[in-house]
Amino acid sequence: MTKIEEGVKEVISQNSRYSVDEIQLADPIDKFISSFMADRLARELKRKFSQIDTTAMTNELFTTLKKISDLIKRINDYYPNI
Amino acid sequence: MKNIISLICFLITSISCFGQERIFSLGYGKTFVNNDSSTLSLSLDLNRIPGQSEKAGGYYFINEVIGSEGWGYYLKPTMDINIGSNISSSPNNISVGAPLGLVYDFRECELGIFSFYIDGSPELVADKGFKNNLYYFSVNSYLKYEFLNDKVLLNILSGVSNANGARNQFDKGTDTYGRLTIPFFLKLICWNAVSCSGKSFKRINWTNSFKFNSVYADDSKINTDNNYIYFNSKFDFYFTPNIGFNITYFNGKEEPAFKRNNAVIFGLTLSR
Repeated sequence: MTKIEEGVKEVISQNSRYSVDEIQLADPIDKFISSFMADRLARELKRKFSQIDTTAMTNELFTTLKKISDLIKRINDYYPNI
Repeated sequence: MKNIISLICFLITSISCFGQERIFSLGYGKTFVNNDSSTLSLSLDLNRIPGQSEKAGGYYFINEVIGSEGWGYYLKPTMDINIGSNISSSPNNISVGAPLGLVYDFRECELGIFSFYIDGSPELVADKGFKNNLYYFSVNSYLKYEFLNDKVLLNILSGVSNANGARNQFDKGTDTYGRLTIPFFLKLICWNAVSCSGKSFKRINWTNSFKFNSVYADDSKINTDNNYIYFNSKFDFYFTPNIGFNITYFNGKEEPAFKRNNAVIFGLTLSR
């Protein structure tokens, strides 16, 4: 598991009733937190991954970014050297 | 039968930015206000729950964090268009705003997750002909809550809003306008199901919004009661992950004209 995968699962876990081990890359994000809380999820991700664009992330969550794996790929774009 | 309850048929078309479940619905309904005629309605919502100026989800101009302890700030556009050819089936209003605010994200607890918002927003609420307009600055604070597990999603939003500004009427001049509002929103999604193709989905999606308005400054000819309630409830029952049946009921009086709405609509929902 990469540091970004680990970090994303940790953030999702801290905002849901699921543990890190229960979160799978193929799972839809809205299994853990709904689009009603998209703005919050983007802010929580920013607190973990300081290089991401929170506003862009907010508007992409649950639209173009629907699965945990989509989210990890998108955050990878902000960290090209990892 | 006109003196009792008029049962009037109308075709309703609504397109909602409502989370990401419902994208389109077509309906057929009846109003329960006397002396109405057949009507056609259209509703569009951006970052709003119909009839309520909530700020959940949706598109943001800015959503940023402040430090690392839960604070953030945001700027987002809001728009709500409810147009109908008849006053009893639609509030017939057009609302736009741009709330700028602060948010605090509480740590997740046993009950679920909470976020607290406080913002200020210039807003325009007009009737469909732009002949009766409200211009005001509103200050809003509200708490947003979510509980989510395998079986149930529950979202609740409630708070308080204060607006101060002016009412401008095309041929009657300008009056000062002020109101205090307590909004309440509840969304419940439940009942697990699996489609023939093996895709899992929830059968029931029940959304309610309630708003209590206390108007303390206005044109006395329009504002005859001072206190107004507006209620909207929508029940979706999904046959498949993408197709459902919906029933919508709304009742009450809403800005800017505070005319009585009372209607039920039966429709078909398409979702993604």
